[in-house]
Amino acid sequence: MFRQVPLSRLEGHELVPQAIIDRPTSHFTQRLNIPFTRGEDDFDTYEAAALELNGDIVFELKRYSGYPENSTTVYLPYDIDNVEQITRLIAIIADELHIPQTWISWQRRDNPYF
Amino acid sequence: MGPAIAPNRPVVESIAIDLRQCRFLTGTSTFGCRNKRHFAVVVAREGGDRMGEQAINALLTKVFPTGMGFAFVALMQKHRLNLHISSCAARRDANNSGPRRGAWLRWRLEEPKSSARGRMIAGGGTHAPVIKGTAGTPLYNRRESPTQTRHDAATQVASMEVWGAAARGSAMPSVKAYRSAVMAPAARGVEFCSNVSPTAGKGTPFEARWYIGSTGVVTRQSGTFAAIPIYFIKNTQVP
Repeated sequence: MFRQVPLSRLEGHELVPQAIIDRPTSHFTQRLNIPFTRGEDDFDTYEAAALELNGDIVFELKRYSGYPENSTTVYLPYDIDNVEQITRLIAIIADELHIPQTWISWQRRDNPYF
Repeated sequence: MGPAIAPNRPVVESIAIDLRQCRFLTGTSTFGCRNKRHFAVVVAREGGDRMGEQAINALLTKVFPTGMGFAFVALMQKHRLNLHISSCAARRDANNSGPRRGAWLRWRLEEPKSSARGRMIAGGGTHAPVIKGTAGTPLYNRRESPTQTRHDAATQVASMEVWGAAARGSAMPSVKAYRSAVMAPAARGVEFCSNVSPTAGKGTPFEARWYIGSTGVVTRQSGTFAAIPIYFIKNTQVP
């Protein structure tokens, strides 16, 4: 079960992109009532929402301005670096967010070396 | 150069630039442009000088109905169009433009040849990209943003290093860039090559990251920044 948390909940976390969903951020706003916040960091400007999975793992849905418009990327904490664990988590997140596998255009297991 | 639009045609009225027209231009190849995304807009004014984006916005706002100028620029950015600023275009045409005298917007199509990029299309001087080194592969790019300013770009050219701070909320600095192979550079930004490979397992097909601890990634300012040496850079954040 997921719940949205303030972006400030991400303080202290380095987040790494682990899956790309072929849906715009507006999809999540409209279907799941997840509002996105605009901001900027050292990379680029972005829209982001922070979520918590099962009261435990925090993750982020985000689209940097340079990414395709119809995409949203899932960011997981840096220290989750085992591909199997990442794959498992992405599957859980996809299930929670009602994302069919066909909408996941890329995920870490597809190319762990990116 | 597209043959369908005469070089000195006063486009403000004849094309009556509106968003429908923009979409038409971006959605067609009938103007003979090999890459339909590569066409140019020339903004000129009598005795004009080089104008920044803010000035262009101001000009377009005067020329077009409320809000359309901004929408137009946004559309250009969305489609990553090259923007060229003319310093002397069409004074003669301007004389015939009636109430819009002195404020001009003209379209030109540009072949996506590297030799054509960055040069002035219609008179006057331009700010050509600053290129240092010889391009190799893979290429990476960063877009102009509050954290990739014109000043940052100039510093990158001077130092031949790209630095990166920690992302918001994080304490781990990293250099971050788009992969040019799949994410073409924006009209303004830097494109670069480095012999240092991105940190494996931390990027995506679109995005590369270099973390401290990876081979070749160095620290700057007592670990506040990660940095990588680069051997090629093209800076289009000029001026």
